[in-house]
Amino acid sequence: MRLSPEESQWALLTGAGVRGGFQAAWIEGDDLDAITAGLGMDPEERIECDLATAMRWRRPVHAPVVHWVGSHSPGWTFAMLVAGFEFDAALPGRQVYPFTYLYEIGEFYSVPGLEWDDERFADLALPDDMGDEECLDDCLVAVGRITGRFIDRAWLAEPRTLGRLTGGGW
Amino acid sequence: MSAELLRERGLGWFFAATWIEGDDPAEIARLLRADPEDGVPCELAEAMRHFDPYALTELIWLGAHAPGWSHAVTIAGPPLRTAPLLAAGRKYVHVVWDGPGPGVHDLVHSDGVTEFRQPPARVHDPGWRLHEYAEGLLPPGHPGVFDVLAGGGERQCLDNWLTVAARLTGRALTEEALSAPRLLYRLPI
Repeated sequence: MRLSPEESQWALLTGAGVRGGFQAAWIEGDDLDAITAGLGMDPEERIECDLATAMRWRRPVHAPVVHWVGSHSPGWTFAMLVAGFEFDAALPGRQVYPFTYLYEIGEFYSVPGLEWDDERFADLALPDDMGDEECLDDCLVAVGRITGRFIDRAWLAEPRTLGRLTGGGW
Repeated sequence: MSAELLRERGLGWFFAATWIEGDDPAEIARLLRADPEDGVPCELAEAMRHFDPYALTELIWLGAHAPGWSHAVTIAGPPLRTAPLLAAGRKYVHVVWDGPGPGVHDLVHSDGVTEFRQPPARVHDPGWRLHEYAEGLLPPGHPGVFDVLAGGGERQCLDNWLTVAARLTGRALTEEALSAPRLLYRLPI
């Protein structure tokens, strides 16, 4: 695997319509049913769509209601908050790399597990506590090295599951 | 006051609507990739039984508005995609009010050739494309979280966009305008 992606990870995400912040996680495991259940997704209300389509549901509202979840690479699942305010991706017994970038206040929090003094990331500028939007790209590169896959245009076009949380309603 | 009327109709916290050039709603439904035969005739109150801005389906209530103009109200799912209307060379004006979210969105307008967005706080910018229809409107003040809670500044912004749309199309969203039956269409996601 190459050490660095061909294109800026953050530019690819924003180019696909990610806006108003970024709350997402790379979650260890391929068992999508267990992961979506752990995140509280309703088993009935789901559709399959690409990222740009999912972003039509993007709303910074105070109740977490819609997530987009699917395969990232062998052994890793990607999950993103689409409509909601706070994303809790902690799943017992799984390694999780949560990204929290709050657009309204311009703050990006360091990602637990992506440590700035880890020699695998010596060439990257990872925040040791809090950073801003500038820090996102290097953290996305770091998580790409761990999961064995960077975001690229094929990744953006892959369908994943857009689902509503159980009880998340109007 | 139009925003008040929307509240009475159950659209007080989320309202996404598009005024679209054209007298034939079935033709507009086709442009939006709906099956034109699929429209279910109903009144707004009946359509509102399906009201759900978080739904993973997309429903619009579409019908005649004024000579030369049709009107689509989003009943379920996210605000309408305007790209197919732009591609078809239709004029339109698109208004979104999201109370629990970011409030009143930028006005989206196409003159049939290019799409253009205007932030609600800049309703009085000299020379913006629909400036002639914004004359005499109240400035939005200082919209912020307290305005959203109080409903003041944000409701003014919504009223302003509704007025611009009414002046452009020649008809306001009155009680009467919302009382005529229209067609409820399911759009493909």
